[in-house]
Amino acid sequence: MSQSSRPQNHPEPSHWRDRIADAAVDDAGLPRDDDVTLRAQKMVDRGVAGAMFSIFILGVLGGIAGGSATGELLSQDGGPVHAAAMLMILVGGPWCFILIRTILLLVIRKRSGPLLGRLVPAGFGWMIARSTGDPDLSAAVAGRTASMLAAGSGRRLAAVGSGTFWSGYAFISIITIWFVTARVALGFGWESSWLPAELGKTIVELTSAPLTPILGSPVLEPVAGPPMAAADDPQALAARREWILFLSAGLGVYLLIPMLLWTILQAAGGHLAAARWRPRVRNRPQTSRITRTEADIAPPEIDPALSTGDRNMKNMGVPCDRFVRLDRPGNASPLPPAITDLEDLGDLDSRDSMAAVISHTGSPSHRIAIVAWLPTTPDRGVRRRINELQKATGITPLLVLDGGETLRRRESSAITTTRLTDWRTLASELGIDALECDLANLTETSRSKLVGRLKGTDPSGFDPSPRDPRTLDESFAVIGRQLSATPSLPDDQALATCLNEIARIHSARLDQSSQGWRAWGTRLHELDPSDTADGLKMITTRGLELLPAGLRSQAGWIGIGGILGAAACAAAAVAAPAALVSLPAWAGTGAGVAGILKIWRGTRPADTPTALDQTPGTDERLGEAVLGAATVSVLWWMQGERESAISAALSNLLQLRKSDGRPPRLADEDAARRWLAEARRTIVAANGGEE
Amino acid sequence: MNDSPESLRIAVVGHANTGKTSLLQTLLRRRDFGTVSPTGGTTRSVTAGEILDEEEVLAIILDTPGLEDSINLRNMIESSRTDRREDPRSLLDRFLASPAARDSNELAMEASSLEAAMNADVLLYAIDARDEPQPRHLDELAVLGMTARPLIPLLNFTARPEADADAWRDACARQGLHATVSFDAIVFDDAGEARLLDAIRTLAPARDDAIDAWRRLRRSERTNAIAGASDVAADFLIDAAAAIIVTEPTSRDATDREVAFDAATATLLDGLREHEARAMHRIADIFGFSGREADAALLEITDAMGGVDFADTASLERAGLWAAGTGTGLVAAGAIVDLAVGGISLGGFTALGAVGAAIGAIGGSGSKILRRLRGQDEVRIGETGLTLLHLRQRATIDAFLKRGHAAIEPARIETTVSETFTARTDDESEKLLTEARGHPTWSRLSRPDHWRAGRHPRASLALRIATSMSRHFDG
Repeated sequence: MSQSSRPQNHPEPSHWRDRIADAAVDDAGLPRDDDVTLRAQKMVDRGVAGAMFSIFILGVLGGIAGGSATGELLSQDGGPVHAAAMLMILVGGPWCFILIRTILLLVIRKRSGPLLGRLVPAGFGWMIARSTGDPDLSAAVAGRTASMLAAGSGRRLAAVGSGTFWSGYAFISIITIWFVTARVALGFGWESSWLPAELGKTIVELTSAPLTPILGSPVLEPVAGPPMAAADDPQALAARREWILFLSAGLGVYLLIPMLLWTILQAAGGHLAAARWRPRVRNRPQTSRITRTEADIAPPEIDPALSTGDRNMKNMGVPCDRFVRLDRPGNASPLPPAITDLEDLGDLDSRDSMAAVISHTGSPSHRIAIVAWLPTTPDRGVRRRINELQKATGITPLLVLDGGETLRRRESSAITTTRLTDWRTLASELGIDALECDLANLTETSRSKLVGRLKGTDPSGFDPSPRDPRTLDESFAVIGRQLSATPSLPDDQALATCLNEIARIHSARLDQSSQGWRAWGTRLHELDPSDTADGLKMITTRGLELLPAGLRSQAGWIGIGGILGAAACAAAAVAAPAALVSLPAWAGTGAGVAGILKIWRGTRPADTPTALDQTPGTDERLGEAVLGAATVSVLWWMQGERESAISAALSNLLQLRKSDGRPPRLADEDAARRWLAEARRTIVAANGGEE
Repeated sequence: MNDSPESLRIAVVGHANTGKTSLLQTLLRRRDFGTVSPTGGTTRSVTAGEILDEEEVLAIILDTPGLEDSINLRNMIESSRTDRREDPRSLLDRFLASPAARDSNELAMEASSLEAAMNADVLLYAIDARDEPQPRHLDELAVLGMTARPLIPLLNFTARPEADADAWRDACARQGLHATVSFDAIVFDDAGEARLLDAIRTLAPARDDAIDAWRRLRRSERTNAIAGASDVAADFLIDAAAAIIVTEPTSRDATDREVAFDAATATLLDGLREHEARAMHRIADIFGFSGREADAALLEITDAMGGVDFADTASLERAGLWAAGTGTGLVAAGAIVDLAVGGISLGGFTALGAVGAAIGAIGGSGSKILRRLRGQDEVRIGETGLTLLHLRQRATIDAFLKRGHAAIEPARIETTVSETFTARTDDESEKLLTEARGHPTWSRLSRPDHWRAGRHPRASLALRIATSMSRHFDG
């Protein structure tokens, strides 16, 4: 078999226009075929045309501005033109404008394209956006073009627009000077309303000095216009020509040439910035490939001859007198006396230890207990070791599956379920008896069950008979009654009465071996509903203490503790509120949060910061109370079961919360009854009862 | 395609269910590589993944079936030993040629793994660091040692609290293996991958060019992904910051105005939700994850907001997320923020709201006055809400940067409303967002809609915000 998944990478185009087009095609989710790419490239070309048009418009506008300003300055109504002032206005005006803008930008520490020139990038985008036929593609091209322009070339393009404007201004000013002076004979001099003649002279001398290479050494003396100086006076004509040349050269050298150079420089910079620009990756290129060249190897078939099957199941009544450990870690909690009272044959984890164990198996009259570790994957190696031991002893071993809580703590519920199923499948295929029993967290029931299996007196196998749902129904009926009593749930006194009744029902059912739970129930009986807060705090503390030590600190059980706390307003008795809030486990369980908040609202110091006031409404308080009472009912009902079964039942109940982990919102009595019915159906069905 | 002889060959070996396939998924950045399952023995053949730089194959990484029965395997190999001085490699060759490896399928998977290992430049021995070192692991190391290939113990799942990396380092050191590397396939760590490549480079110096190219490839990939994701985030955030919805009341009556205000708020909320989801999907795609994971991340974000639901206006207002364009709205929003911080600000936010209202009243443009006269209001996202969205975008990128491609659990985005009060000044990009205020035409969410793609000032701002965000992730 050969299977190859090829990466979809494309070589990078060398021109920015093509890079924009390619990136835009990807952004629009279109295939990069020639037709689509060509359309995108044409859109970019439209943008370029729009930019060129904008530059042209700016040039024309600059020309109009220059022409009209120059024309106005030359219209003297017979008086002489103040050439120095004219030059200062025509050249100094733009430079002052540029200077002030530069100072402003430096002060506010901002980089910005020239105001006028922004027309050019705007024209670029405007023309692309006007592309018809494929709005997604044109929007993508416009977006990518804007990104390219934003990366540096846009600012330079705006500078080109601005430079073109001032170049047009200067060029048309020069043309206008020649055009106007060709039409009329003008006088030039120092006449001004307020400027002294000396200043005019000085300006002219200073500005004409650098122009000497172009103008030679011009003699710029005042010359009158007609009729003071005849139009055909050769001296006056020459003097006027000197002035016109001076003005033209001044505009050319001090404005046109710098602006043209600036424009060319910015155009080159913009081109380089565009060439350097690379589109940001928005569709990740593949940098790997998968190749498969081999067919799957079939897993070894289970040899029916190896499996002792039903023959061994008959031996389940035989007591165990020895035990071995199978991959049980050294840092696991010590084994309970029920196991250590047996003869320890060691570990079944290597070639040598296998041989040693098998050599000590001795008489087949007694069984061996294999203490396996649930988090371990029951693979072929595990299967073979158990099978070899089974063959050596000739009698079915008892497989004690330890470490359930470790597995639950470290893996998700889906993985936990799969692992449990795999172990059960292995036991079933090998025909051996297995007992899932968390040796670190034995309850009285699981301890007696373990002892029974080890002694061969409790061969009950995997399928416990379904629990009788009648006592659960009775306690749920109590909750239902308390919904319409006076006071009714979620009132604390109603809750206390409710818990008291539930305890009475279940205490009567439980046998004497469950001393802890009986004691808890007794406390409930003693509860005085008129002194609710302290009483509930007391019994909840006691209830939490009854949980196995190993489970008490774990997230799932803390969630239950939170519900108990919410139900009894008393989680504060377990730890200081500040400590509860800092525990991530609490934060991860909605019920815990609900319980904490309820207490926190009443106990937090005034300066405790909180991001959000989560005062629950009436519907949420009713949900808290009903969920709490139902949890207590299920805990009572499940007494005598394995801890894993209790965990599973409580998990089922917790899954009936809202998706955000908070208690259900029960608007009224009817909603609460419907929720109780659903909870009852779920719990009973999960415990093998009727659907 | 150039599969050059200089390509580095790596075989990932180890016990069943130690995360070998997961490691490959993360190293290759491919979710579609192999099948990951909690049941052991899922990988039943050698599968190769290639690291490509353009057309060049830099490295070939082989995923191998797990060594499930190492005790039996070692026993089988060593049982054929006739001379104590015999070379272990020849023992292995003999085993691989034997019927036990060829004809019987009892150890066929182990044989397949060993063959792959013998043809590799370097072996990565995958270890689930949550397990305790056991004798079967020593059997595996002994057998792999017979291949005479350099071996790197690779500690997987080290980010989990149950992991005991020190115990494994010690156990490996006792076997003469000192180049142990921690690399969690689920919680991705850039530095961890770099350390792994360093270790491979040390043990396979002849392939240093390929490893250097691999390292460069990953570095540029990361930089590009951060830049691309920041672009997407900046684009969404400008949309959010610039959005203004002008209400359309049927009359100037207060009730009608309120109805229109609610409708406009709902429109803005819907738009924000939709655009945030879209941004999230695009960011997930940039990092090589699927839209489904982005959905999960969105869910986690909502969870992490401590009950603040975008669909619930009251909830949002309670969290101080919205500011209306009217003066009373701003004052109200300020007061709400005060409540949310438990009175710590001592009325400061209310004062700010009043100042904002005054500025709004004095500095309103002509169109605003006209709208006011028509009884129209403007709805836009409040500063706190914008900060929250900003933090969420940053947290999203961060979550995907730290997510291995083998991860199954939803991406966790730990952003809470309370962070908006503590983390709002540490990033220049957030300050830049204020420049988008007052430009409703820059937002796709504004109503009336004047959106046009390709506005240069908007793109310029987006680039600055994205650059600032990228800088945050590049450290």
